[in-house]
Amino acid sequence: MKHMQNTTEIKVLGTGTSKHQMITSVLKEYLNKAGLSIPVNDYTDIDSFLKDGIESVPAVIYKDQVYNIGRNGSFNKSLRKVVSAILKDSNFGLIEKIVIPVDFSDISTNAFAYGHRLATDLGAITKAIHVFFPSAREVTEAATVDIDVAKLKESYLEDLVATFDSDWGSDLMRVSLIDSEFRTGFPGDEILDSIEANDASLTIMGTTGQTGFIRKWFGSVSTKVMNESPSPVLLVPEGASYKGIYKIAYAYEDIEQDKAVLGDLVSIAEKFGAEIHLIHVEDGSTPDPGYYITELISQLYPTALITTASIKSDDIAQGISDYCINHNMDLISLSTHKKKFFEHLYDDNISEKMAVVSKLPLLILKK
Amino acid sequence: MNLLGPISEIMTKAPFTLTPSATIGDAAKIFDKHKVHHIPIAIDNTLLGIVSMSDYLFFRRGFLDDRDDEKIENIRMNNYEVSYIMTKGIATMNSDERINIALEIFKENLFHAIPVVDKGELVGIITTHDIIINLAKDNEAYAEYD
Repeated sequence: MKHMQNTTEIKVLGTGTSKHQMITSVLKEYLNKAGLSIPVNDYTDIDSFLKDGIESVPAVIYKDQVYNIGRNGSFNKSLRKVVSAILKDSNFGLIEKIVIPVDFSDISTNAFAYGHRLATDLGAITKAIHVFFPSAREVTEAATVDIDVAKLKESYLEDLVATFDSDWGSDLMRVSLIDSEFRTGFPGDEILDSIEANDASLTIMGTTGQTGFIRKWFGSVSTKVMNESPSPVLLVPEGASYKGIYKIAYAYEDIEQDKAVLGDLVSIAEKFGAEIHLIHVEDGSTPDPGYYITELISQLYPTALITTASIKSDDIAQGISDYCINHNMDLISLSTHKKKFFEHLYDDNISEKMAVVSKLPLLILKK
Repeated sequence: MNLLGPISEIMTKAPFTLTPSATIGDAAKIFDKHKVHHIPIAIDNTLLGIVSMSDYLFFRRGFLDDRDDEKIENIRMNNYEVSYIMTKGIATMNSDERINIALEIFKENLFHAIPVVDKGELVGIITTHDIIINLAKDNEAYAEYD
């Protein structure tokens, strides 16, 4: 594993108790996962702590910052905070990051809950992003930022993170650490900037369900992010709940365009050990390349369980809908280049039929 | 109540169960509607764990102070499966074991429910409440004080 150089030491102060050892062990585990070679050293000399003004142990010192570890009920929470603060200093190193923009609506909060569970299963960091778009008043062409509203939104973001960051159940460190970013500017641009800055492996966004779903996909922010994001984007419809990823449907058209995104599809499927169901969106003009795509996936993911199905172009939505119901799909994936497919989705006549499909998260794969 | 009788006499037969992939919201509905405190988690009658009201309340972390919190709570409950909060590796009993053995188990432990399993299949659940209800049926429970 590639290791980033860092000579600053992390001091773990304590009396050698099991909790002291646990702090050291958890820190080392996370630093290793992040590829950060920061030394972690134990200190048990109480006299020297007192001289340094340390009031209670266990405690962690990193870059002159003292982090007190709470006792009893607050131990888990404070340990997560310390790990998060130290890793954040190096933007969590090599640990995968999943960016989830939130606007505090029910839909985005649900997408956040879904994404946090997914990030946990992927061993990734959850990055909650809120982009504050100030109400601009044209005075001298300069936008006036309403400081009070910005502060309020920032506090909403902190509350949301605090709520979900405590969902660790019995295994305190397995659950994805949550980091937050509060930005001001144009949402589409800021989200894309955050995706790039974090080298995000996935972006998760909420979408309205049912009839508005299709159009909402093409709302300005989601369209911009979906089209310009260098990494996959997962659209989570209203009310979708996370139950693991066991079956992924992939709607494909032709091999030349599809093979470019198969790596990302396989990468996600393999992490979950998920079945891949290849659904051919057939328009009669090209032969079904299912065999070749199956071969390509098998090369990338030899143990993959692959199923193929073909859907006629005159009723794509109904076909996909029926297929997903009958086969209990957990998400549908496709790549952004599928113009024909998207044109079908634009059609109001079929939007009702897509209602069932629209209840499933949609993974947009990028070339 | 004959303490030497089998627990099948007093256990709750065919309790409400959920599969591990059911959401905590599903468990909440059972707790709210049916006033039970324990839900065995099973697939095709094979027991995998149990979710108690305490597990559920721990997940909920106390009371809500406004409507916004309720919305977030519902979203949280919708996105977590019961397998996330269930207790695994729990004690079980056979339906022909004696009631006094159940009493001993409850006396020595902090839990209040034991799933009853015969030949690998969940057949019921015995709780401290079942014992209290059956004790209350005894005539002695209503004997007047002298």
